[in-house]
Amino acid sequence: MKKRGFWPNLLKFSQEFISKPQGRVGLFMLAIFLFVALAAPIITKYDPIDDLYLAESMAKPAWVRVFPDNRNLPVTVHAKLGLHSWKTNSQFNLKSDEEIGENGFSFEVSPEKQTELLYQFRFESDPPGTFNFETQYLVKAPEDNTTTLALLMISPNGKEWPLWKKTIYGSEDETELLIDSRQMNLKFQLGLTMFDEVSQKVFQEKGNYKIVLRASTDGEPAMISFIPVAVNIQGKLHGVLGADHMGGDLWSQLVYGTRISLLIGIVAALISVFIGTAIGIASGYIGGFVDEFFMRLADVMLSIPSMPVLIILSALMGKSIWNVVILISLFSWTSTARIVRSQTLTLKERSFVEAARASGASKSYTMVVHILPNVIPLVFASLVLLIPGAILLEATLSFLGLGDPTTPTWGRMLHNARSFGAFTSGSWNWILPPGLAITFLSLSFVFIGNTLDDILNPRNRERS
Amino acid sequence: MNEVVFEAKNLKKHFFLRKSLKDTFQGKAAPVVHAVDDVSFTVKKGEIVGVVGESGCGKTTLGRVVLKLLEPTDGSIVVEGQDITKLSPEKMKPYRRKMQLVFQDPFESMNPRLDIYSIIAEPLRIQGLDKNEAEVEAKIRKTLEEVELKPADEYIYRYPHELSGGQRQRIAIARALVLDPEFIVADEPVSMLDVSIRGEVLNLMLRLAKEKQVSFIYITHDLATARHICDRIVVMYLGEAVEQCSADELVYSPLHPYTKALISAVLPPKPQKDGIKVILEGEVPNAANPPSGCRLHPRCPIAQKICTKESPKLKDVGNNHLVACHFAKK
Repeated sequence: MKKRGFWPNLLKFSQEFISKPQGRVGLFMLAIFLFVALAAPIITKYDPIDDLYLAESMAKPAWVRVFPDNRNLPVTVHAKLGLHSWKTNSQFNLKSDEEIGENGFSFEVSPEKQTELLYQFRFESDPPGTFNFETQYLVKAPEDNTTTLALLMISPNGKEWPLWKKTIYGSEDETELLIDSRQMNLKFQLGLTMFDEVSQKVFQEKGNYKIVLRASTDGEPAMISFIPVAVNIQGKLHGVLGADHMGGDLWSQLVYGTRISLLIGIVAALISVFIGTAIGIASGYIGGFVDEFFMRLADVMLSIPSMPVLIILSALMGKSIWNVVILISLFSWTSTARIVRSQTLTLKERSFVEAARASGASKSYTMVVHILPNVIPLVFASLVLLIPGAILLEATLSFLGLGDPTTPTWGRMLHNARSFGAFTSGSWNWILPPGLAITFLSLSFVFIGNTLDDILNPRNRERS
Repeated sequence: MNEVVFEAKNLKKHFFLRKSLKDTFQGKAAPVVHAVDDVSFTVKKGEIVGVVGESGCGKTTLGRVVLKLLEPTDGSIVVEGQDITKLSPEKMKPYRRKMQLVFQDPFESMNPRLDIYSIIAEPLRIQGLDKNEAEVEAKIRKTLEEVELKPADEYIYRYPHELSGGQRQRIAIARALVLDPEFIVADEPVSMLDVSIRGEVLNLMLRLAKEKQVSFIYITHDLATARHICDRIVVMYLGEAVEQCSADELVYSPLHPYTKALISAVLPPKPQKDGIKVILEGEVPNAANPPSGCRLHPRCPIAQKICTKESPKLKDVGNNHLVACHFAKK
């Protein structure tokens, strides 16, 4: 039965907000960033910190192949060859085997005929720098069996490259298998000198390549299990945005960086606005010594150049994003405090505050019930306007190498780009995306903040 | 009717201004604004006392000092025989219930974020009288009906901006009334209202004084409305009370030249040739630097040499008619 005016007011407010082009654009941009931040694991499959050597150092984005110059650059391939990838000669049955690991598969091999698993793929560019195979296998066979396993690649011209061969007596427990094209013994095994690159030789031609997994045994039939075989060909082109100096995926760093930037921006702004509002109301309403003290403190904070102090403090406090958040909040409460104080000074003289005093209201009651709700809109606008500042400060600190190296942030991307020569090698795909992301995220908050300020700031509003 | 609910004795309120750097070097004292200087009056139960004067004469300051919203520089405030001048805010709290305030601007005097229910309930909450919510609501409805906002349902959950100026001013009076105060300081309650609504609000005050025995201190610059509702009127000039008597006596036989000038300034319903014609020349002097002697002397048409030197004392010329003029005679 109580009619509260909150929802109708909110509706009116949002209509007014949407009616302004700046607000619309800001909201749209922020929505995109929020989506990217929330859906990061869906948008990218790589971990921004731990997944390294995915491609060659400083690989370009995959889509630059549309330009003629780049048409022959090798593209990174990451495939997992599981149960359904392989073609088989029908002598044996390939079946799922979860015992060895996720998506594992197994097959039976009998003495009558050697068995072959075959996977074919097209490769139509210059040879890649390196490639590797990674898997685990398990053999169950009687004691006196001799089982032979081999992995080889067949070039389009029919040449076979025996990459791995192993003879097993009886059974063998789960064993890891790693074949890297840079291994010295692989080179000798293939009859190459130590100065040859395996990948250069194997991928000399363009066309259909085959990967073959060969098994044979004598005596009784044997069961052989594999987890999906990971095939990694590290090319010069990789993913949406290419790779950094360690072959890490830049796109995943950018996507996960959105989360950190939003988080740091919003939390730091919330903390500083909270401090600023409390100090602003207290010094505005109580006045006298309290006012004098906090405002002089604010003057001091404003006149201290914040960057050198932040650099020293973050060096002393250690590298953690929460330290960065705390430092940023400590330096950005002053503007909110000043805005809130001046608004409090005018509210204090309004008759309804005097009416409350005439009824015997205490100072704390008046501040909470009468002043606070009337400065909240202003605080809200200044909150939104503080966020881009916090995002920029965080990016600056990270860029200078004072951020947390284990957190994927845009500033860290730029820091790495600068440290590892992206600027000299012209890796625009490494420098531009984080720069633009910082710009657009800040811009979206500035747009939203300006619109809020237009609507909520009493200075811009007629008396209602 | 004879019980005194409120007494102001020699109230003074001086505002100390900041010294300029030049004055500091020259060793001058900080300038002082004598907003209220030595004002005394009493309010009886159910009585409406008018405080009349032009802008800047200190009547609003007087209202604030009376309620102890401003600390008086000197003098004492007595409520129901108890001197409350030196009480701490904590000890003041029970007395706050007895004295309330209605403001000039009905658009400023309510928190725009609260509904009418919360606005009127606020004094009850502050005073800790909100233990039983049903009682609070009943009290609010009763008070709304007392200020002629009927039916209460139509107003109780609305917001101030949905109401007209007259309705808001009634809400403001309801907020003052809800604590059942002994007296209410009404600071120009009708000067922001349309003329058509003024009468209603003034008559409401009159009725409340008669029926509920609430006393009012009615602060105004409008002698006509003051005469309409007040029992006694205090005329102020530059912080001083210059004349004080019953409303009728003040209008029909004013003794102070300033009162005469005020009355001359009221437009009569029927223009007539005779009547008191006193017109003051010049501007109101600076309250930080008032003239010596009688403060009116630079503008007074009957000023003599004595007026520039000696400040006239407030004296009773009979029938409880107080006047501060060297030449006032019954």
